[in-house]
Amino acid sequence: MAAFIDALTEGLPEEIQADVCIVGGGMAGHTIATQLSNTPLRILVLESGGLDIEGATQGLYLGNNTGLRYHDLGHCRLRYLGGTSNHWAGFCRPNDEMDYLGRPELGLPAWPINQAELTPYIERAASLLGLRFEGFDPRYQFERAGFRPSELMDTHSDTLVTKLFQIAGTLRATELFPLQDLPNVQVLLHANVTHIQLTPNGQQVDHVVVKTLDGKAGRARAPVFILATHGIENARLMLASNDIAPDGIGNASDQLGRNFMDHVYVHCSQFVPVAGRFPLAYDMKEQGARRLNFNLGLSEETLRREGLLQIYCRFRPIDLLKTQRLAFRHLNEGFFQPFDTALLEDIAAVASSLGNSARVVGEKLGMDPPPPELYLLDLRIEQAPNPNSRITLSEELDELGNRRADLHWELTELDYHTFQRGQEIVASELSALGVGRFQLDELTPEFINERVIGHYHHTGTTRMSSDPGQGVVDADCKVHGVGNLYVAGSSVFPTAGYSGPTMTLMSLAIRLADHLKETHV
Amino acid sequence: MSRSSTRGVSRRALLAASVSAAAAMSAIALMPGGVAEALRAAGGRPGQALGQAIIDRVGLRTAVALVREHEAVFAGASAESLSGAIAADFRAGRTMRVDGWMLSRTECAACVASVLAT
Ligand SMILES: Cc1cc2nc3c(=O)[nH]c(=O)nc-3n(C[C@H](O)[C@H](O)[C@H](O)COP(=O)(O)OP(=O)(O)OC[C@H]3O[C@@H](n4cnc5c(N)ncnc54)[C@H](O)[C@@H]3O)c2cc1C
Repeated sequence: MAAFIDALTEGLPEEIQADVCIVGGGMAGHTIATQLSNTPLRILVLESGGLDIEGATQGLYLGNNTGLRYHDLGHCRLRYLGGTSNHWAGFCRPNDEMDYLGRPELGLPAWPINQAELTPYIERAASLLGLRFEGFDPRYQFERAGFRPSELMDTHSDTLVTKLFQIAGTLRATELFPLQDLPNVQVLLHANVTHIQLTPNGQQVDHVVVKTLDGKAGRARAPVFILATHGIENARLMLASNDIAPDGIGNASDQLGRNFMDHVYVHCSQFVPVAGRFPLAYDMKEQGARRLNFNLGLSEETLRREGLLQIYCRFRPIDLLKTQRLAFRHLNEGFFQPFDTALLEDIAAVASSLGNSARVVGEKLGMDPPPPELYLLDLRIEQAPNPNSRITLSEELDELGNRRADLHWELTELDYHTFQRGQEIVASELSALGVGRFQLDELTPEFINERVIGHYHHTGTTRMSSDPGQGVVDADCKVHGVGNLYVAGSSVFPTAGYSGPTMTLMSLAIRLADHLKETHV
Repeated sequence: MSRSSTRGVSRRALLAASVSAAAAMSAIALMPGGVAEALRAAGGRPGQALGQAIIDRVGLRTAVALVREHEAVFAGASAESLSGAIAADFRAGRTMRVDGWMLSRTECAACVASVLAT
């Protein structure tokens, strides 16, 4: 089988037949195709884009946002081979056990798969990304990275835990999984799937409709279809394919498109460390070179006691001008035990005017820069599933005549509360430990709405549940009620947890491939 | 302290607050990290400025009550016991915000006490 065929330049066959048809050649699609490469199955990957970004194809992703300000839908994902993996930052970490268990008291559904079941697949996904599974243990990495184990905050506090991300080295799916080398995989480029055609009884996918932007059309048939077009587009395609199932495919429970979640963050407040007491391991700037990212989160016990979602904190050093730095250092002598309003005001004045920093200058001159004296808090939370945050179909059509996706996005009371209370707990605990002091912004909903930023982690729109009344796909990622349609990607996550979604979606993709090997080989 | 600012607060309360203020100040004097020196060098003003800011915000009556609430903490306080009380405050949510700074109530009481003592 020829590896890559470009439907724009080489033509689009009227009908293509395969054993497994994967729609979308991003991280999920690449992972599954590779996992199925050592089988007799003929794998077809239908990819909307080409080998690089192109305006017309990327424009198919445009859509409207309502509710809270979110990223432009045309920019927050990429529509060409490799998909959004051409953009991602590589931060990886497995979910915690509690993330799979569900928290009914907070309205968080359980995953139909538990941590023990998924861990072997996470290990495989980590290994594909060049990461060691044991490397997710902060204690292990602390020592390896040259930090003193006694500086791990967990050793001093029952409230705080260190949450570690490893940062993958090779990021692009196309580099990790070169599909052109796989003899049983065919990739059709510039092939946009515009419709999923169910059989008249609605229980099987008969074929998918494929179109090119220059007006060609064809169809692909296979015993198995896997939708891997990412969090927003998976829902869009299933909603738009509404000729047989009027509310969209797999939408008997009215869950399709709902519960859109992201990992969201707010930059706020200030942290003044006590000299020598704040471990530099938690300084964001210190971590990059080691491809590690240590964050301070709250222990499971604290989260449960307080009824909070997952939250963690990063510390972003604020660089100060040299004069400010000197003034600040002078002030700092008298500061720490905060009996001095005048000093506090000076500190605020120093902090309010930022620019080129002595730190940066020091780095440029090759000098060992002194540790920062001020940090901005970068508070990050998982979002609670919210049925009102959802993908719907727009009245506007794209260039291929398909209704565009609209995103309505909100934060819940619990999201706001998690930011507010989470900040308070982190600040109180670090203050109690004598690590530093905080000037806290009042995290009102208005303040949060103004500053909140999504992390481009689109999750939840085709959520997984064993109960067809609660979800779109089952524990095997098969669409409820449709025998041969599977969904791959973070859209199946019932809850967001707080870890980056990509390694987890890869582990689900590996698991799906294993399932197909068992059922179809 | 101006005449008007004492309105509504009994002489007894003020006296009691001043007594604990003396204790608080001596406790502060024992605290590590050069704070005591810094405060002394500044003629006691920095702590007082913060204390005054607290009084302005919460009112004299509440400020005095805050100090009285801490009499036992201040009586015979050492640097260790004071740090312990401050840490316990933070963990129990006994904090106040002054210009956004999160301070323990014990710290705030000491600052208010230092205003009342002069
Ligand atoms: C700036 C940024 C930083 C990120 N950083 C991180 C991080 O640090 N950690 C982390 O875990 N995650 C991160 N992510 C998220 C990560 O990129 C995604 O989780 C991941 O790429 C999703 O993989 P996917 O295969 O599901 O979707 P994609 O990679 O987006 O692939 C979808 C594919 O489907 C194709 N397609 C779409 N519609 C059609 C159609 N109708 N027909 C045919 N093909 C179609 C697209 O062209 C694309 O190739 C980040 C994302 C961004 C944007």
